[in-house]
Amino acid sequence: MLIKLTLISALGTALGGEARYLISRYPRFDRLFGFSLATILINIIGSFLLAIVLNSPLALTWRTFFGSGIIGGLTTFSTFILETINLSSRQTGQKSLLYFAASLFLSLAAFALGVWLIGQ
Amino acid sequence: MLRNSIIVLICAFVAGALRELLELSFQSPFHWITIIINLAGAFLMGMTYEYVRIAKKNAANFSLIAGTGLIGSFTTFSTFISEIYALAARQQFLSAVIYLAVSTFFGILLLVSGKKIVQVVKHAD
Repeated sequence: MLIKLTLISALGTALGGEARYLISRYPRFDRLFGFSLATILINIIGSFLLAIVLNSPLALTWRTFFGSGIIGGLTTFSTFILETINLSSRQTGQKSLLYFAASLFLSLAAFALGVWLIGQ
Repeated sequence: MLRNSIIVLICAFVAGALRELLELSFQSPFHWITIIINLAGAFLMGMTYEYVRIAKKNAANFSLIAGTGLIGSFTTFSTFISEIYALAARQQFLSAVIYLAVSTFFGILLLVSGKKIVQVVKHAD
Protein backbone atom coordinates (compact mmCIF):
# COMPACT_ATOMS: atom_id res chain seq x y z
CA MET A 1 0.00 0.00 0.00
CA LEU A 2 2.87 2.37 0.86
CA ILE A 3 4.53 1.75 -2.49
CA LYS A 4 1.22 1.90 -4.37
CA LEU A 5 0.18 5.25 -2.86
CA THR A 6 3.69 6.64 -3.35
CA LEU A 7 3.61 5.79 -7.05
CA ILE A 8 0.06 7.15 -7.48
CA SER A 9 1.06 10.40 -5.77
CA ALA A 10 4.24 10.62 -7.86
CA LEU A 11 2.23 10.20 -11.06
CA GLY A 12 -0.18 12.95 -10.00
CA THR A 13 2.68 15.24 -8.93
CA ALA A 14 4.30 14.81 -12.35
CA LEU A 15 1.10 16.08 -13.98
CA GLY A 16 0.57 18.86 -11.43
CA GLY A 17 4.21 19.99 -11.68
CA GLU A 18 3.97 20.00 -15.46
CA ALA A 19 0.84 22.18 -15.31
CA ARG A 20 2.62 24.61 -12.94
CA TYR A 21 5.60 24.80 -15.30
CA LEU A 22 3.41 25.51 -18.34
CA ILE A 23 1.30 28.12 -16.54
CA SER A 24 4.26 29.97 -14.98
CA ARG A 25 6.24 30.21 -18.22
CA TYR A 26 3.42 32.23 -19.77
CA PRO A 27 5.40 35.49 -19.85
CA ARG A 28 2.53 37.96 -19.88
CA PHE A 29 1.93 37.32 -16.16
CA ASP A 30 5.30 38.84 -15.28
CA ARG A 31 4.98 41.88 -17.52
CA LEU A 32 1.54 42.85 -16.26
CA PHE A 33 2.26 42.95 -12.55
CA GLY A 34 6.03 43.13 -12.15
CA PHE A 35 5.98 39.75 -10.45
CA SER A 36 4.80 36.28 -11.27
CA LEU A 37 1.05 36.31 -10.82
CA ALA A 38 1.11 32.66 -11.81
CA THR A 39 2.34 31.33 -8.45
CA ILE A 40 -0.17 33.19 -6.30
CA LEU A 41 -3.05 32.23 -8.64
CA ILE A 42 -1.93 28.59 -8.71
CA ASN A 43 -1.72 28.47 -4.91
CA ILE A 44 -5.17 30.03 -4.40
CA ILE A 45 -6.88 27.81 -7.00
CA GLY A 46 -5.00 24.75 -5.71
CA SER A 47 -6.20 25.41 -2.15
CA PHE A 48 -9.79 25.62 -3.40
CA LEU A 49 -9.44 22.38 -5.34
CA LEU A 50 -7.85 20.56 -2.40
CA ALA A 51 -10.84 21.45 -0.20
CA ILE A 52 -13.12 19.91 -2.85
CA VAL A 53 -11.00 16.74 -3.06
CA LEU A 54 -10.59 16.26 0.71
CA ASN A 55 -14.31 16.72 1.37
CA SER A 56 -15.56 14.54 -1.48
CA PRO A 57 -16.45 10.86 -1.01
CA LEU A 58 -13.42 9.62 -2.95
CA ALA A 59 -11.52 6.35 -2.54
CA LEU A 60 -8.08 6.74 -0.89
CA THR A 61 -6.23 6.07 -4.14
CA TRP A 62 -8.13 8.81 -6.03
CA ARG A 63 -7.81 11.18 -3.07
CA THR A 64 -4.05 10.60 -3.14
CA PHE A 65 -3.84 10.99 -6.93
CA PHE A 66 -5.75 14.30 -7.01
CA GLY A 67 -4.89 15.68 -3.55
CA SER A 68 -1.25 15.06 -2.71
CA GLY A 69 -0.52 14.21 -6.36
CA ILE A 70 -1.90 16.69 -8.89
CA ILE A 71 -2.72 19.53 -6.49
CA GLY A 72 0.34 18.90 -4.29
CA GLY A 73 2.56 19.16 -7.37
CA LEU A 74 0.67 22.12 -8.78
CA THR A 75 0.93 24.33 -5.70
CA THR A 76 4.31 25.29 -4.30
CA PHE A 77 5.46 26.62 -0.95
CA SER A 78 9.09 27.25 -1.88
CA THR A 79 8.28 29.62 -4.76
CA PHE A 80 5.75 31.43 -2.55
CA ILE A 81 8.54 32.19 -0.04
CA LEU A 82 10.99 33.03 -2.86
CA GLU A 83 8.57 35.53 -4.46
CA THR A 84 8.00 37.16 -1.05
CA ILE A 85 11.76 37.62 -0.54
CA ASN A 86 12.41 38.82 -4.09
CA LEU A 87 9.66 41.43 -3.90
CA SER A 88 11.05 42.79 -0.63
CA SER A 89 14.52 43.34 -2.06
CA ARG A 90 13.22 45.00 -5.22
CA GLN A 91 10.60 47.35 -3.77
CA THR A 92 9.96 49.06 -0.47
CA GLY A 93 8.65 45.89 1.09
CA GLN A 94 5.02 46.92 0.74
CA LYS A 95 4.47 44.76 -2.32
CA SER A 96 6.17 41.85 -0.58
CA LEU A 97 3.89 42.10 2.44
CA LEU A 98 0.83 42.38 0.20
CA TYR A 99 1.88 39.31 -1.80
CA PHE A 100 2.53 37.36 1.41
CA ALA A 101 -0.75 38.32 3.11
CA ALA A 102 -2.85 37.94 -0.05
CA SER A 103 -1.44 34.45 -0.70
CA LEU A 104 -2.31 33.28 2.80
CA PHE A 105 -5.65 35.04 3.22
CA LEU A 106 -7.07 34.33 -0.24
CA SER A 107 -5.92 30.69 -0.16
CA LEU A 108 -7.54 30.12 3.25
CA ALA A 109 -10.71 31.83 1.99
CA ALA A 110 -10.64 29.69 -1.17
CA PHE A 111 -10.22 26.54 0.94
CA ALA A 112 -13.14 27.57 3.18
CA LEU A 113 -15.24 28.25 0.06
CA GLY A 114 -14.48 24.76 -1.21
CA VAL A 115 -15.47 23.19 2.12
CA TRP A 116 -18.69 25.24 2.14
CA LEU A 117 -19.56 24.32 -1.47
CA ILE A 118 -19.20 20.59 -0.77
CA GLY A 119 -21.31 20.96 2.37
CA GLN A 120 -24.21 22.39 0.35
CA MET B 1 9.96 23.09 -25.16
CA LEU B 2 9.08 19.39 -25.32
CA ARG B 3 12.46 18.54 -23.83
CA ASN B 4 11.88 20.96 -20.92
CA SER B 5 8.40 19.56 -20.33
CA ILE B 6 9.76 16.03 -20.09
CA ILE B 7 12.48 17.16 -17.65
CA VAL B 8 9.85 18.79 -15.38
CA LEU B 9 7.62 15.70 -15.65
CA ILE B 10 10.38 13.35 -14.49
CA CYS B 11 11.66 15.64 -11.71
CA ALA B 12 8.12 16.25 -10.39
CA PHE B 13 7.54 12.48 -10.35
CA VAL B 14 10.65 11.94 -8.22
CA ALA B 15 9.81 14.84 -5.86
CA GLY B 16 6.18 13.71 -5.50
CA ALA B 17 7.26 10.16 -4.64
CA LEU B 18 9.64 11.48 -1.96
CA ARG B 19 7.00 13.81 -0.47
CA GLU B 20 4.35 11.06 -0.33
CA LEU B 21 6.81 8.56 1.18
CA LEU B 22 7.65 11.06 3.93
CA GLU B 23 3.99 12.01 4.53
CA LEU B 24 2.97 8.33 4.84
CA SER B 25 5.92 7.40 7.04
CA PHE B 26 5.45 10.22 9.57
CA GLN B 27 1.72 10.59 10.04
CA SER B 28 0.50 12.62 13.02
CA PRO B 29 -2.52 14.85 13.81
CA PHE B 30 -0.21 17.89 13.76
CA HIS B 31 1.33 17.57 10.30
CA TRP B 32 4.85 18.57 11.29
CA ILE B 33 6.29 16.53 8.40
CA THR B 34 4.67 18.99 5.95
CA ILE B 35 6.41 21.82 7.83
CA ILE B 36 9.76 19.99 7.55
CA ILE B 37 9.20 19.34 3.82
CA ASN B 38 8.32 22.99 3.14
CA LEU B 39 11.19 24.36 5.24
CA ALA B 40 13.75 22.05 3.62
CA GLY B 41 12.37 23.08 0.22
CA ALA B 42 12.57 26.79 1.06
CA PHE B 43 16.24 26.41 2.08
CA LEU B 44 17.12 24.49 -1.10
CA MET B 45 15.15 26.96 -3.23
CA GLY B 46 17.21 29.83 -1.77
CA MET B 47 20.43 28.03 -2.68
CA THR B 48 19.18 27.13 -6.16
CA TYR B 49 17.91 30.63 -6.93
CA GLU B 50 21.16 32.28 -5.86
CA TYR B 51 23.31 29.73 -7.69
CA VAL B 52 21.40 30.33 -10.93
CA ARG B 53 21.43 34.10 -10.43
CA ILE B 54 25.21 34.45 -10.03
CA ALA B 55 26.25 31.53 -12.26
CA LYS B 56 28.77 32.54 -14.91
CA LYS B 57 27.50 30.04 -17.44
CA ASN B 58 23.88 29.53 -18.47
CA ALA B 59 22.15 27.59 -15.68
CA ALA B 60 18.69 27.32 -17.24
CA ASN B 61 18.76 23.52 -17.09
CA PHE B 62 19.76 23.52 -13.44
CA SER B 63 16.97 26.00 -12.66
CA LEU B 64 14.45 23.79 -14.46
CA ILE B 65 15.57 20.53 -12.83
CA ALA B 66 16.18 21.72 -9.27
CA GLY B 67 13.90 24.76 -8.96
CA THR B 68 10.79 24.07 -11.00
CA GLY B 69 10.92 20.28 -11.11
CA LEU B 70 12.35 18.92 -7.86
CA ILE B 71 11.94 21.62 -5.18
CA GLY B 72 8.80 23.27 -6.62
CA SER B 73 7.00 19.92 -6.68
CA PHE B 74 8.45 18.66 -3.39
CA THR B 75 7.02 21.56 -1.39
CA THR B 76 3.29 22.08 -1.30
CA PHE B 77 1.19 25.11 -0.52
CA SER B 78 -2.25 23.45 -0.64
CA THR B 79 -1.53 20.94 2.15
CA PHE B 80 -0.02 23.77 4.23
CA ILE B 81 -3.31 25.71 3.85
CA SER B 82 -5.49 22.64 4.47
CA GLU B 83 -3.62 21.86 7.71
CA ILE B 84 -4.07 25.39 9.04
CA TYR B 85 -7.76 25.22 8.16
CA ALA B 86 -8.16 21.79 9.78
CA LEU B 87 -6.52 22.96 13.03
CA ALA B 88 -8.72 26.07 13.15
CA ALA B 89 -11.84 24.00 12.39
CA ARG B 90 -10.98 21.77 15.40
CA GLN B 91 -10.82 24.96 17.54
CA GLN B 92 -7.04 24.51 17.92
CA PHE B 93 -6.38 28.14 17.10
CA LEU B 94 -3.04 28.36 18.88
CA SER B 95 -1.77 25.32 16.93
CA ALA B 96 -3.04 26.85 13.69
CA VAL B 97 -1.17 30.10 14.37
CA ILE B 98 1.99 28.22 15.39
CA TYR B 99 1.80 26.07 12.24
CA LEU B 100 1.46 29.15 10.04
CA ALA B 101 4.08 31.21 11.88
CA VAL B 102 6.71 28.46 12.03
CA SER B 103 6.26 27.59 8.34
CA THR B 104 6.48 31.16 7.07
CA PHE B 105 8.98 32.66 9.55
CA PHE B 106 11.50 29.84 9.29
CA GLY B 107 10.70 29.44 5.58
CA ILE B 108 11.83 33.03 4.97
CA LEU B 109 14.81 32.67 7.33
CA LEU B 110 15.99 29.43 5.69
CA LEU B 111 15.52 30.71 2.14
CA VAL B 112 17.61 33.80 2.91
CA SER B 113 20.22 31.58 4.64
CA GLY B 114 20.36 29.36 1.54
CA LYS B 115 21.04 32.40 -0.63
CA LYS B 116 23.72 33.73 1.75
CA ILE B 117 25.53 30.38 1.92
CA VAL B 118 25.81 30.24 -1.87
CA GLN B 119 27.05 33.85 -1.96
CA VAL B 120 29.77 33.09 0.61
CA VAL B 121 30.86 29.88 -1.12
CA LYS B 122 30.93 31.59 -4.53
CA HIS B 123 33.02 34.46 -3.18
CA ALA B 124 35.53 31.97 -1.76
CA ASP B 125 36.04 30.50 -5.26
